[in-house]
Amino acid sequence: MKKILTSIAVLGLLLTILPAILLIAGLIKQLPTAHHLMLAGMLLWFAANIPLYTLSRK
Amino acid sequence: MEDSSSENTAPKSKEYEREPVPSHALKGPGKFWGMYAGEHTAGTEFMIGPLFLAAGASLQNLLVGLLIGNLLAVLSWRFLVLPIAMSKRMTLYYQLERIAGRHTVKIYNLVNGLLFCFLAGCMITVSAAAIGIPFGIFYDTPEQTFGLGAPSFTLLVFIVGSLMAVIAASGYETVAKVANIAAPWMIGVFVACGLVALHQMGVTTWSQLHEASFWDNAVSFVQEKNGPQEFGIGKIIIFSWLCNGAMHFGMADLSIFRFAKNKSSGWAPSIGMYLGHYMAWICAALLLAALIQTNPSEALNSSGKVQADPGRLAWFSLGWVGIVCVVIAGWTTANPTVYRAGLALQGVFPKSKTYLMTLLAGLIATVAGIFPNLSGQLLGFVGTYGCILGPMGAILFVDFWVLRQNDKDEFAHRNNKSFHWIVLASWLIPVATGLHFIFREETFAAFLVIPCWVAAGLIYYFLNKIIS
Repeated sequence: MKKILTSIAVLGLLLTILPAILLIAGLIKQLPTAHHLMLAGMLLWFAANIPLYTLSRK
Repeated sequence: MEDSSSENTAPKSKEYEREPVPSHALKGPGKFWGMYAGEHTAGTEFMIGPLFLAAGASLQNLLVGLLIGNLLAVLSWRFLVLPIAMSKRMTLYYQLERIAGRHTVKIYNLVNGLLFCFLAGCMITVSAAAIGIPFGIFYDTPEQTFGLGAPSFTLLVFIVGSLMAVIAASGYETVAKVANIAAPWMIGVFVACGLVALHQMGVTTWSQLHEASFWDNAVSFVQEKNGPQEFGIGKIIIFSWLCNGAMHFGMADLSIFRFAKNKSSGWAPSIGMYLGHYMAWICAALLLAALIQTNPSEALNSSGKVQADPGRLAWFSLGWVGIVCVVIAGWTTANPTVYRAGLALQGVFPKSKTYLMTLLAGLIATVAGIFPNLSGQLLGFVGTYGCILGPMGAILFVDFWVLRQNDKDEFAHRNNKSFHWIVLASWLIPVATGLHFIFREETFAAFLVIPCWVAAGLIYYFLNKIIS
């Protein structure tokens, strides 16, 4: 469970930063596309980290 | 800038507030690296970064100046704070009480608490500004320092501030959890801010970045709208070195480093400095450059001057993620600051209830937050903050390194006194002089941190020598 949640959290963090890199590289053309990916990244990060944090405290 | 959340992130199982930390409670360097990384990538970074550009700093000066200034800050933590912290292993407040007596510490607590309230007030303004964007309520800096924004914005600040005060008064554990969870993500968002801003300005190659014409154009725009201003490399170095003057020169981080098991922990602030006060400041500054290039009218307030509104900057570059990040950053900075201010005020009125003092601190912070211009003067404020609290660290420094050799240290503890006028005079004389220069002569506040610190140390040393 912990591994799955950690993977989701890492994916969330990647989705926060990667779209910005892809924008610079010209692989994402539209800013709103990057915004949507970052939003998904944020949701994944928090969705995975809240149970992870609770698990680590136990 | 520090987010004052060390209490929630500091390694602790028991606080050891009135005794030296025992060896079994000491922590390895990892704890300190993690703590400093989160603590210095905070809501204030969103505000301070753009203010550099708004003040007219060149990109080259910023890159070099922050590199040097932050290095000096790290060295200050390592060689000023850590040796005393590891030797005595007590909090700043307990050490001060042993030197100055509890009544003298009360005065320090009151000043500290009020300064915390103003810092929290700035963060309430920043959070309210970000929350207001989806509702069409905009942050607008009036001409006067104590001028109000639009009535809707004032009401929003009041609501946000009241909420933060109530949450802080009911214990800030939930906020501490959110802060811990959000910290790595916020660092990621800062990186994304910088990259997206560069994309928005069409900077996609190293040569364009090296040329930095996008930055120079933005500075020219600011100078044209706000009038000529200068923020040279000297100011940048001194500011980045001393913006946390209260923490290292002022020894506030003795409370953190008393848990350090080995000296290498003293290098931990470097991660906070180079992530938060280097990368994050520059990335946040790029947001303003991008807004000026892509949408210059949005960067202006109602008086036609360029203003640094973190919420709007983040919205234009990162959309909803930017808004959420600014709100979380502001909230997780303001809340522990209000809580700490409440504790400091409770130190002044020991019989009062913690929640009442926290509510009072929240109320003062909210009132400060209602004036948008105060958050726009954060560069000056953090310098003033270091100038006021820093000199107390010099007294501690002299007491530890000089007076201890002759067994004349910890006057109040040795003589069972609750008040030590020498400490008060050594602290207040340089601070009053410093404040005169800041408010009357308009000297850049950060320039005065070291002179005030040295003066306080010398006054304390010579008064002790004369009296004894």
